[in-house]
Amino acid sequence: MKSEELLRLLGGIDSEYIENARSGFEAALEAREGVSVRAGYPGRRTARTAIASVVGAAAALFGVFVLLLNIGRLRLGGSHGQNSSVQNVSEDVITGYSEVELSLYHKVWGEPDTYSAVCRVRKKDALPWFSAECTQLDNCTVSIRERNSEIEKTFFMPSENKRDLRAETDGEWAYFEVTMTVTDPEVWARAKVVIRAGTS
Amino acid sequence: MEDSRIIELFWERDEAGLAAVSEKYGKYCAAIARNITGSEQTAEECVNDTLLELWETIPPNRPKHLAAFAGEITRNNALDTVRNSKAQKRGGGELELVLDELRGVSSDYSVEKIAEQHELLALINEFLGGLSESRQRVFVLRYWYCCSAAEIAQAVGLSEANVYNVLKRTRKKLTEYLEKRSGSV
Repeated sequence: MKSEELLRLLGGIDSEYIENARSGFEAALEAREGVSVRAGYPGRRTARTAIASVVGAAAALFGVFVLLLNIGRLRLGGSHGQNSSVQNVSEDVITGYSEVELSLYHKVWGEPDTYSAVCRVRKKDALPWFSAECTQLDNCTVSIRERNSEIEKTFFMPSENKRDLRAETDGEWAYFEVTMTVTDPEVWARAKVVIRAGTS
Repeated sequence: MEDSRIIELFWERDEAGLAAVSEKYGKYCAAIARNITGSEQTAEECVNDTLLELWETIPPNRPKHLAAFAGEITRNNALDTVRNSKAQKRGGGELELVLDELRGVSSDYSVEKIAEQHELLALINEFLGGLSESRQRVFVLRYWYCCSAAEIAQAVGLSEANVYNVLKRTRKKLTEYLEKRSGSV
């Protein structure tokens, strides 16, 4: 039997097996396409902090890891103009994949601003480390601080990797506070940060 | 929309079922086709063919798992497309590698040893049923979904090297299993 025939034959395996592996496939698909969650918002004029509560969970296929990402509450202070509305803040749930991408945006003309989002990540023993990578950094700097371990890293350049962002917490949750500081308020600012968890 | 409702729409010959299945599983099917064909455009065509085929096969079918059912049709369409392509170019995706790996399994095995292909399929199902859940998933992700080792590694929390090891061992076991069982049939 040729391998082509075998491959085709394998197409007919029990749908239970296919279904069992589907979450892993969809996780791979999400990873390939990039999971993007808009955690920032446009429209702040003065330097205040908007807290996007992001609860992320990715459930690795075999139950070793859960990461939920949830942009839920977003509190704003002060008065805002037309651009201040919270837009495109969505709730997303990622399963089966240990990576979260946060996108932060700033597009207002005014004083420099600081935006921050909190990403709460549940970790299991099997996934002892976290790392963060800045994949995009335009007109801003981004700092990541893990609350419990007080580890803080700041990205000044895009494509920086912070591999040693270990969250040595006793509890199962690690809290990453991602803060974007706009350099030039006259220019559109954008940052993307990927937080990963893994076993090795 | 629940799968059962979508299937009902198909049975009622309501084209809203097509829209629903396209919305719910279009991306899923496209990804399967893309893995095999390596082409975005061809994948899209495969998904369109799948929708048509779903319309023609439900009814009489009432699939237990609609995603798997649609995925299998897509997979077959994608394999047909690759086979029929004049240049015999295989997918830029994982297909070539997957076929290479399966060559080892199939080389010592002849379809003639078991007259009916469904018997062989039953043996493979039996074999998969005997695997641990994790190995089963790695196997299916590779040889059903045609995912890359890197993708599987991320999905299941193993290193790429471990994924390759698991696949290698599983193929070896499958070969031994089929040889043993074909001898006894």
